Amino acid sequence: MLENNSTKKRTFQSWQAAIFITCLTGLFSLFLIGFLSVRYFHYSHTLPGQERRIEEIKSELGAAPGNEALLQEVRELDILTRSIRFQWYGVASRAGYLLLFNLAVMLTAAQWAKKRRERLPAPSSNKKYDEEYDSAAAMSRRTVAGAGIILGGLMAAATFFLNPAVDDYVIEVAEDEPVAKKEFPGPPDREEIGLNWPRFRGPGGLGVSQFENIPREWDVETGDNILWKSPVPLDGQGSPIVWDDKVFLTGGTETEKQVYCYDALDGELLWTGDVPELNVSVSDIELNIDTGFAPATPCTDGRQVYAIFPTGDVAAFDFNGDRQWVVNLGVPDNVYGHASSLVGYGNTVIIQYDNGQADDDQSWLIALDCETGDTVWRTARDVMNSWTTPIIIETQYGDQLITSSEPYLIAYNPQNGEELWRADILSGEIAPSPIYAEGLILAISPYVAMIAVEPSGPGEGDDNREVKWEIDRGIPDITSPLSDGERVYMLGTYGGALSVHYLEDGRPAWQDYIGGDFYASPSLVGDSIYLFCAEGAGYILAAGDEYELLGQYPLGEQVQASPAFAEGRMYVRGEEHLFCIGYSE
Amino acid sequence: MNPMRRTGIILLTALIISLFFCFAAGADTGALRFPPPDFESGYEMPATETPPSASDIYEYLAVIVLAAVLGLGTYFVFTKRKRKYIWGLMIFSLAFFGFWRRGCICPVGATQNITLTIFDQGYAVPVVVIILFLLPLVLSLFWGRIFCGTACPLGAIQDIVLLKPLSVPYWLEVPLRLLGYVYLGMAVLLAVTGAGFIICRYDPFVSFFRFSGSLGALMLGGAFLVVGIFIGRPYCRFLCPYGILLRHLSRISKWKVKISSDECIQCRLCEDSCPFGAIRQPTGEASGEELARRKKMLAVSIVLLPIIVFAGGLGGARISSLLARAHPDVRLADRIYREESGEVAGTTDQSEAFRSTGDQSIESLYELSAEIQATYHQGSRLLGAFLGLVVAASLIRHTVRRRSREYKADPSDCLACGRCFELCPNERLRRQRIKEEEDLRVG
Repeated sequence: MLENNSTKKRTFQSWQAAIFITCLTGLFSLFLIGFLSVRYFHYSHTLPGQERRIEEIKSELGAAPGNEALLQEVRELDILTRSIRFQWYGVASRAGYLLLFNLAVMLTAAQWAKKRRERLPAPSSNKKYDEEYDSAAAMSRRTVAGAGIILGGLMAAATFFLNPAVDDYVIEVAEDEPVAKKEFPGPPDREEIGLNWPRFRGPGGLGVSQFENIPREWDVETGDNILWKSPVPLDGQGSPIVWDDKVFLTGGTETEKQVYCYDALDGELLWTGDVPELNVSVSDIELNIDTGFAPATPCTDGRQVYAIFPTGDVAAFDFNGDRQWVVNLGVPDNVYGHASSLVGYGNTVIIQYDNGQADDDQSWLIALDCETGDTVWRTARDVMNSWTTPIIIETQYGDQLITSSEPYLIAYNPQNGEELWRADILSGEIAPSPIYAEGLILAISPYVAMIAVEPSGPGEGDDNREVKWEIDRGIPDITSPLSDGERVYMLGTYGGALSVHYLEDGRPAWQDYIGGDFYASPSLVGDSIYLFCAEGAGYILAAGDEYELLGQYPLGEQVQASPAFAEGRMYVRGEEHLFCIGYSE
Repeated sequence: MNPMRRTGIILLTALIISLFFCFAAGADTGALRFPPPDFESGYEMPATETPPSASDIYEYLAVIVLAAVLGLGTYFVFTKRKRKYIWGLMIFSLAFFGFWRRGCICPVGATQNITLTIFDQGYAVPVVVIILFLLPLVLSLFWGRIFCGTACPLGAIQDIVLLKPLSVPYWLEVPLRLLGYVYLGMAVLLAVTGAGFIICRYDPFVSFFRFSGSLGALMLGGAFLVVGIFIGRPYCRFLCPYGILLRHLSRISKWKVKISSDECIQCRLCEDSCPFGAIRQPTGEASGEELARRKKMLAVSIVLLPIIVFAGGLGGARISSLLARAHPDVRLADRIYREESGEVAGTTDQSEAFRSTGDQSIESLYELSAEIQATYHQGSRLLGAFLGLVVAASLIRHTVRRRSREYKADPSDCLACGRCFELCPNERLRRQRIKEEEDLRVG
């Protein structure tokens, strides 16, 4: 009996102690919650006023930039707001951990006390199960039905009292103030395109000038055949393009992206179009310094000029320099920086936006509406990042857009992005763009092979299709190939190795070394080949079965971009200037 | 009315009101933005560094730990049948899945990720998320809601604050459960349309697990915990969307949690032991009059079912343009339209950003909004029909009279916490026998 009493006493004491700890920690928790609430109240009421004042001072400083008193005030306020904020973060963090610990102790003690005080239940007798069960079921039916009615009532009330989203979007225009929508002209026809140089390497992307009256000699010292030479504000590796009397270029730095329009006649810089930074900045992307900030060539359709930059920003300007739209295609994942140039087709601008590895699901072929910049179609590509520019070819099956990226040469319908056929034949980090000559598509795997493939109809190709021929010598890694219809010319980057093969079967014709480094792709003017080396000299060679150098003319500055051609003129982008080479008459 | 029940009802009403205010106050968990200083001294701001994502090994570790907890939980609930083991496992889960893993990713929130994966081909979830989502569901097909009782940190944090459990009358419990279906339906609709993951956004306890969150989020969690002192696991019982899935799968589970390890002697000691209202008492014998009435009601309920479903669909379609406002693009289009038509003056941050970037025309934004609203129209109709079906099915369920001669844990509501084991005399006898056998072996 005595033993039982002492056990009871011990139990009572432990229960009492648990309750005491619960109360103590509970009170301390309440204190901490109150303390945090007061601090939060102080913090949330002090800071907004100070931050508003900082904004006011900033706008006042806009009007009076040198006002020392204001500058001093804004600095002091800035430091004060930051110290208050960080102080609050510190207090909240420490008090939060303390509160958590305290609550844990409180709950443990409370559960302990509860456990110690638990008594066995003493249920009443004479329970009527059937009555209880049936009345609970009846009551539940009523409450469920009531809940259903309340739910329906809430739905009905919501439609009356809450503001629904607008879904008709009718824009009313006052009758007395008719707003005439500026009509967007239709795209140019092939003939019109053929008279201009609207994209990288001209019509078709072949590097073949439709004009033969281009000077074969010039002299920058005397100005002989140099019609004009204009400075280019910002650096860029993109090539010039020409439409009628306007020449377009792009340039950029880490913080700026610009499109330039020059007067083709006198070289005057007519306008500079700034492309704003959207949601991607240069710091967000990988970019090799050699790639630069404006490596891609713009394109034009005679209505607008379109430009793309390594941040994935695409912009359109009209010929007066007014920006029409700008969109961002998403953060590119390209080891050297995005450099594929734009291609126009009908009312769309097509972008080969290859990113990441082949299985990363990041590569796309995207067509934007020329007028609005909206995406017209978008086709996923299972290829790795590349630097090539697609070409659009006319075949017996209709127009086909040809892209080359590891591991596939793929043809698409340029009207809707539908894949037509593919060939699993490419490898490496592919920069040279494909060309189309005498019914053959010529694609390059850098240093490894040039492969000639005949285009197929939709669905005819497969991953292991046979190639017409393949050569493995003198393969370039950067410049694109050139064909005169009988031969194909390949220009190596380092040392200027020019390798020539017959187009018919790929057998070698000749090879020679020009000397110098070449980043600009070769061009064909009549029966002459124009080459520009990085050191800043132009070479004119005869197109034919043997090496024949017709002339070598320095430009005085480095050249990395491919030239553009117009009637009697050639436009070459140097490191600092845009040159117009043509006959004075 | 029993004063305890009355207190329970008052507390629940308080919870619903506080929930309303917390949601109205925008209980988002977004962090405060803190702009960098405007330096004029030529100081260059360092480039923002994105920390590398956590190693996949932690994700796999979470799966392994979840599988282990569920396995142990099943053993404790079905073999050991001891509350203290289950409690210990629950505390471990609270520490690991709650405070260490910071409540993410959990099977509850994964419901939305899985939904979006099904409907959006451009969205994919890692395989660990699929496993985390499916593992408790598959387990519930065999052993019921082991996950709720042992592994869920959201349930655990409510369980530890439960000090003075008050019973919620069954007639109130049943309609309150409908809230969970509304929440699940909304979460699925918003996930499918890409409007957001509301289960995560309005997770009441994640701000405690992460030691950060807005005042609204903290108040929301606090309200649940304060009410949870008296009402057992209010979030689990009345709102948890994952709990809805588990509830229905557990109903058909192969093995069910039993209060008594032997035949129930109807001692009634366990009658009020379940703080979650999962214990069903014997039904007694119904009178012929009652059976006849129920038959008639059942016929009416079955006839009403398609009507209620159809009415729900109609109602859902009626509120589709309201629900569509949950989508940010629709809200933006709405705002732009009202600004353009002069209905509102000034701009918001979103409309100003839209206009300044110019990467999308107003017309194309309207088109996008119209497309999204069309999706909402279909989705809201389905949501309304689904809720109608739930109400009608609940009516039918409470019209059919089940027969039971013993106290049972309803497998759909039983959270496998093990509280009822402790009061069952048969269970005590079983433990006594086991102890005696062990003593004999040792002796």
